[in-house]
Amino acid sequence: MKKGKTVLLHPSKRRKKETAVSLLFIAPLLLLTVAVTFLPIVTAFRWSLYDTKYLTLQEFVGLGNYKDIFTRGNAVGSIINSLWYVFGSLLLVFPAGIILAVLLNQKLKGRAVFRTFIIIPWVISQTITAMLWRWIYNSSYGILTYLFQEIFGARVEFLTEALPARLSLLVANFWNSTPIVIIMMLAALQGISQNLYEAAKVDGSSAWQTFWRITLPLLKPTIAITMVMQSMEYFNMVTLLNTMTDGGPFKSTMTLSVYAYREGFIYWHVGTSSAISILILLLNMIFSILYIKLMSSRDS
Amino acid sequence: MNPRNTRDKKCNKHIAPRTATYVILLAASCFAMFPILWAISTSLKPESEVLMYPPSFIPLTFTWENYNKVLFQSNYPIYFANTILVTAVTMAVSVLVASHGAYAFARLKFKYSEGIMFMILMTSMIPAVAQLSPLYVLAVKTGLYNTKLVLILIYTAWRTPIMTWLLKGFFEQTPREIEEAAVMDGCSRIKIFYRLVLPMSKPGIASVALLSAVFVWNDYLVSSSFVSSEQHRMLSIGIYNYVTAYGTMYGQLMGGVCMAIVPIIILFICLQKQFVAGLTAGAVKG
Repeated sequence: MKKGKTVLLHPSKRRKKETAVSLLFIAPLLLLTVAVTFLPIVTAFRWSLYDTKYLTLQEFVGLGNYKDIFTRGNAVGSIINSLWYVFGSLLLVFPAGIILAVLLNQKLKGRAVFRTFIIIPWVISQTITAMLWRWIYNSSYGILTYLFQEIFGARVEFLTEALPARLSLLVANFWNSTPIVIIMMLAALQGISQNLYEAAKVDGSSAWQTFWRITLPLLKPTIAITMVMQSMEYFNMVTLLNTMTDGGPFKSTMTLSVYAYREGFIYWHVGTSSAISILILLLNMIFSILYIKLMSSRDS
Repeated sequence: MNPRNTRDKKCNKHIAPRTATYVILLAASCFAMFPILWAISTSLKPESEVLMYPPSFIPLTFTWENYNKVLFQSNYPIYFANTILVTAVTMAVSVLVASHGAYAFARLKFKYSEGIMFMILMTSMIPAVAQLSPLYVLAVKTGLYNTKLVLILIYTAWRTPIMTWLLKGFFEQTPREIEEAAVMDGCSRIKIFYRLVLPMSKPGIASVALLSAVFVWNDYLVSSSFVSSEQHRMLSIGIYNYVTAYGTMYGQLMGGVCMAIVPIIILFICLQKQFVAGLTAGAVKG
């Protein structure tokens, strides 16, 4: 921030030319962002204030849509479902992601093979993740249904009862999204100087101590930023949930984002859907401000 | 801790954690690979065996029938080609857009550059569902609805903010001196960017390219909302053909799924080394 100003203090032909070049360089980025992101979100905000019929605006209702989703709609239940989903996922994904990254960062035989296998689910789409797991959970022919019956003697309906459906979704999401956390942690671990570990070894620190005293504190900034990223990802996730359970059974897996999607694209209640989406955006902003505050207070 | 004791126990102490490490990594690999292996196994079974209870882990009778049907008796190849085309074009366009932007933000600091970068990065906070309906109307109005172009534009716009930010971090890490020497020699910034910076930044470019490819290959929301004809349909939607109101044809579905994940896995394996290196340099310093 400061550098930019000092540079501008020395006006010369070169600087002017460089400003022109930089404008040229950022123009496509700006244009796309404005047209494909800012414009739609402004429109969505406007729509959220109107009564709508399909894609046409009817009368101005102010905050009526927002009131409706809380009183007549399913906003409260959906927020609870979202919290379930976000925190459940974080709780599963982060400990596993950090531990696996630390293990994969050691010098091991076959490390590359393990790393490739473990990270592969990351490149698999939410649609396909949903298909793969739906087949595993299938209540008639699913392999997990079969294994459960053999081992525990009980038949579990993984996707048609509320609690099992929630947990099954968390497992599928855990499978799909732990790898990105591993990737981020691995990248951060490789940035940590090897000398620190050598020094710890010389001091007789055990692997366990090294992990708590050196690795984890140094990973903290990456953990924080990845947590913000992933919380938003989970909070905004539609495809996996919608493909696996359609928000059911009995709306038990209908998070706020799925609610917005279904209102907008299945029932064509665009005003309502926009109101929910703006609510999601506001919650996203609040979450990230909280995280950033939390992070900076810890650092100091 | 007593150093003498640790020296005596050194051998034992090293073997136990090492074994534990292997056990954990092996378990994690099995968990990660299991759904895929199960899909492969299912796809190689005849329909009668797919719907068998208890299920067989390894097909009792191997058959290519499912692949045959998917490849030669459906529009699957069209979806496949569409997806490859859109992914490749988006990858190229978004890398170009992001790398130019990132270089401007990293090196050619200008008025409000930090503020603009921040605003652009913040757009990734906007949920996709919020933008879908307005974009739908916009696409219909501009006549872009049901084209591949609209997919490419949306993917590029949604993916470039994070790519730009990562690349900016990456460019800031590259040694400034070389560029400054080139400036002294009278090279223009444009020339420096193309001749010097881009070739030096291969890991960074590779990692953002992979990010963009994975995003496009895996998208469902955009391709399901903006394309309605068979001719432009993408894989992630086409795969739903096997999920019908009368039930799901799991054999063919899993065949389709297995083929759909092959290209992106290959791309990942090719780029993974550069990917982690690129992220180390770019993103992680926070």
